[in-house]
Order: sequence, then C-alpha cells, then structure tokens
Amino acid sequence: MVFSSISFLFAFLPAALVLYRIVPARARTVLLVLISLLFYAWGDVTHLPLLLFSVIFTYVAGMEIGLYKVRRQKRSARRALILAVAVHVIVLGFYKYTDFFMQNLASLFRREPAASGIALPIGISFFTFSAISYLADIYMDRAEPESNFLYAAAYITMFPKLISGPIAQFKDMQDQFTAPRMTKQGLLAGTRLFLVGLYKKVLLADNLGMIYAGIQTLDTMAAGTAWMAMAMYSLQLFFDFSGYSDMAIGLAQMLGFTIDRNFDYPYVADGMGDFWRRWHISLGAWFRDYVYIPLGGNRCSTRRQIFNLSVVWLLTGFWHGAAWTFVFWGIWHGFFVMLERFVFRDIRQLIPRVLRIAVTVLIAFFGWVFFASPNMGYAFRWISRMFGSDGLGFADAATGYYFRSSLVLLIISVLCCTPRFGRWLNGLSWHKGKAGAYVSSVVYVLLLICSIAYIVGSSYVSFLYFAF
Amino acid sequence: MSELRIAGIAKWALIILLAVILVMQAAGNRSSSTSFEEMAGAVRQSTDLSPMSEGDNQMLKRLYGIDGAEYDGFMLYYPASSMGAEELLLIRMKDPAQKEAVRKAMETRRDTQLSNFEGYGVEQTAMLENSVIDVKNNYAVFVSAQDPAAVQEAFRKAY
Repeated sequence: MVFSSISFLFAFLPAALVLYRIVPARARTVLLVLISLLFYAWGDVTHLPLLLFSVIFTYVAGMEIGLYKVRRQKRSARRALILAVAVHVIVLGFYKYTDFFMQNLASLFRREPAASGIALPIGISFFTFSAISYLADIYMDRAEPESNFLYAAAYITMFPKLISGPIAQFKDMQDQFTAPRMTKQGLLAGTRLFLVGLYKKVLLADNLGMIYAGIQTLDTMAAGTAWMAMAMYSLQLFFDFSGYSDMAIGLAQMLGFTIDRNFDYPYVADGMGDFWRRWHISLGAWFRDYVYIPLGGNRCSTRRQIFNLSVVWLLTGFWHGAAWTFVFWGIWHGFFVMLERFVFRDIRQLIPRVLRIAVTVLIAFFGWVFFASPNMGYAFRWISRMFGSDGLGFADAATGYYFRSSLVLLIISVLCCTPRFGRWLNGLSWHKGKAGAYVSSVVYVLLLICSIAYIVGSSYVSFLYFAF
Repeated sequence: MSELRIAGIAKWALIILLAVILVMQAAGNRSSSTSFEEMAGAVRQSTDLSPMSEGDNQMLKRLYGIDGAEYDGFMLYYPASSMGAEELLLIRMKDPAQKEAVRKAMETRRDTQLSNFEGYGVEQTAMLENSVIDVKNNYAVFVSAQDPAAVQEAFRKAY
C-alpha cells in the first residue's frame, strides 16, 4: 500500500489514527506493531514471515550483545555483532543480489543467464538497515538493548518508515517508544508535512514522470529532448522520494514520533559534499555512523580516507540496486566528493556560489542518467544523444512539444526545489498571526483537494487511455 | 540456564530456521537454464500437432492478449479448424514477475474456448476441461490435446 493511494488516505490512515488515539497509552505500542504488520502484509503478505524473522532475530541478537557488554566480554560482544550483521547482510544479499551475481557469473563463464526467480521483499533494504542500526547502537553503547520486545518490534516495523525510510537510527528513536509525545501541535504539523509530501509526489513527481516516460518512448531524439529527459527524471526522483519522506515523517509526527528530515533542498547544494548533507540524509548518516567512522573516518591518513570513502560510495551505489549502473553511480558521486575534498577544497570558495550550485546540479543530474538506465549501454547512449548523436540537431518538433507541454510544471518544480516556497508557507503558519494561519490553512486544504482530485483523475485518465 | 545461554540458543535456532527457509525458497524458485529451442523441441515431440496451425505474434496477441516481444520466446499452435480445440502455447518469460500475467492469459483463453464449445461440442469441452496449464519460474505451457499429461511430463522433464 502506498501513502498516495485512495485506500491508504481514506481507509487505512484514518482508521489507524483514530484507533491509535483512542486506545490507552500502554496499548499503543502493540497497536502500532499490529498496524505496521497489517500495512506490510497489505503490500507483500508473502514476505511477512521474513519481516517477523528480522524483528525476532534482531531482538534476540541485541539481547545477547547487551548481555556480553554487561559482563564486559568485549570480544564475545563483537563476535555476536559480526554474526548478527552477517545474517542480515546474507538475507539482504540473497533476496536482492542473487540474480545480479548469477547473471555476472553466467556472462563470465559464457553461459546463458538464468533468473533465480527470487522476488524482492518490499522494504528489505530499509528494515535490514534499521535492524543493523539497532544492533550496532547497542554494541557501540549508544543505546540499551530493549527489554520490551514490542519496542524493538515497533522500531523496525513502524509503518511510516518501513517501506522506504527514512532510516531513523535506533539511538534517536529508543526513548520515544516509552513515551510518544502525542500533542495537537504534533498532529497538525505532521498533517501539514504529509500534505506537502502528497503534493510533491502526486502533483509534481507523477506528472514529471509521465513526461519523462513519454520522452523515453521516442526512437530517436534531438539533443535538447535528451537533456529534457535528464532534467525531468532528476526532478521526478527528487519530488518522488522527498515527497515520500515528508509523508513518512509527517505520519510519524501524527503518531507522536520525531524523525529528522531526509531532504533539505539538495538541488541548491553548492558542492557534492553539501549535496549529500541534503539528499537522503538518513542513508548518508547511516553509512557515516556504521561504516565510515568504524573504518577510521577522516582521522587517518589521506590514503586511508580515500579507501574509507571508496568503500562507503561503492556500498552506497550497490545498496540502491543490484546493477552495474548503480555501482557506477556510487563511484561517480564518490569521485566528485573526493575531488572536492582533496583537490578543490581550498579553491572552491573562490568560485561564485551560483556557479558552484550549477556545477553540483549538473554532476548530480548526470549521475541520475546512470541511476535511471537499465544498463550501462543505455546510459551512454542517452548521454551521446545529449550531444546530438541521433543527428537531429539541438531541437526538433518533439523537443518543442515536450517543452511547451511541461513549461508550467517545470517552472513550479524548479521553484519548489528552492527553500522559498516552504519558508513562505511555514512563515504564514508561525509568524503572521491569525490571518497568516488562515491563509496557510487554505493553501494546505487546496493542496489536499488538488492531490486527491489528481489521484482520482489519474486512474480515470489511464482508464480512458485503454480505449486507444 | 542463564539468560545469555537462552539468547544464544534462540539465536542459533533462528539462524537454522532462516537457512532452511532460504534453501527452500531458492530450490522452489529455480529457473530453468534449458534453451527455448530445446524446450520447444521436447514439447513439440510429445504431442500430435497435425490438428493445429502454427501461430505468430499477431495470433498470440489476438488469442491471448499478450505481446510475444515482451518475452524471451514463445511457440503457439492453435486449432486448424473452427471446430478444433487442440491448442499449445509455450512461453519463456524474461522475468518471473511476468508469471501471473501469463497464467491469467492462459486461463482466460481456456475459459473463452470452453464457453465457445459449451452446450454443443461435447468432445471439445472435455478436451478443454482436461487441458493443462503449468507455470514454472521462467517457462509456462498451456496444452489442450488428446494427451495433455504427456506434454506436461515432457515439459517438466526438459525444465
């Protein structure tokens, strides 16, 4: 079930919120776990046992690590951590990477590749990383092992973040389970954030995606069209994922939990390091805290730092998907992050900020070409088209058509990539008294009405399209 | 027994359980590495194709509503006469995710044929009722013939 579906918005969410608010406080955690398991089963009932295994195993392994720590048996605690993390990584690898390795092995031995047929469980990358965070935080003395199984289960399965994150770390969540802060302000702020996310996903990302999909059907394209495809996909990805994250954080807030923001206007970043402090922040923090710093971080020689960063970026790419395109994308980002840190650190401040932002956006957008492509050949063909390899010049009729039909959407999208709109809306809510609050309420209600109308309308349009 | 010991035992029990689940899942979802030509040959030899005509992608779209270009390969034999119910469709999927669409297309085709012959074509109805739909991980077969079990056996052996 996705947050932007009618069944979630009008059935699951209201029922969950009402139930969660009316049950006694001591029953809320068990209700949260049950609701979350139902939410998961709705989308992927076949892998529900796997999720339950992950929860039970993590709880047991966490307890064991905690007991070793109490007894000051550091080496045993370390062994227990390594084994537990290895189990999680093997499970993730089995479901996510088996086909990738089989295909590569087959091509290595010049055999016909065979698909394993192993279906990817929904959200496995996210709940596995949550489980590892639980174990690592106990080992690193950042959190106590949960004595209450329900709290551990609620942390891993919590439905707002279960499918697509953010990957909130256990140390930041643990105290919240004992006493979720359910306030009217939290409910309202959560609702507002959820509506902003819904608007980003439904009105911006889905429309951008439709134009991108249209461009992709062209057999040949002029350079300008290929550039437009890159821009459309880059914007779609941002609004899709940041919209989902906003909805997740908003939902958690409605339930009384605080999860840090996952996106902070990444397309106004003025460097690749800055970009990664703004894009999928929770994933960057996870790799920093559980991979980069344990490897030595930046308190070591330059050579060792380069090694540490290479490991992190290779893993970051591979985590996103089992394909060479994702690995390349990880290397691409890692390369520019290292270039910025080790080569241009002193001179980058001499470059005007606008230019730094433009270069960062260009690097990120080119990276998305690999991210979006099914294979490396496709990505390079796409890039070559951006430089006119189809021989159609910079613009043709299709370029004009797609540009005209998406101009308004593009302008709104670009404006929403900057903090101005959000600041204006938040400013109205908090600082302009009653009048501001009324205007802001009207804006949010309008966002809701437009989003719902679009959700209902989009299925209507797709139904009409069948007739052709 | 100490808490630590209980936790250790529970942990290993869970790991063993997990290993069993993963092995079973891997075995159950095995894809066949048999080439389409080999599989098609084995299936073709297991039944009498004379009452059928070979179909192309256009016919596949017409009868089953699926596009052969989206699959690794297909072999279609459809009734040569309007009173025939003999039919054979073999498909190799590109992705196991296509399994359900293929199964549905085959079931729909069988139901359509059944409703076409219902009430007057006793033999044809019996043949269609005995027909076999067998969907594996990357291959699927639908056969309506005098001896569909022989085709299914050949299909499973070659898989």
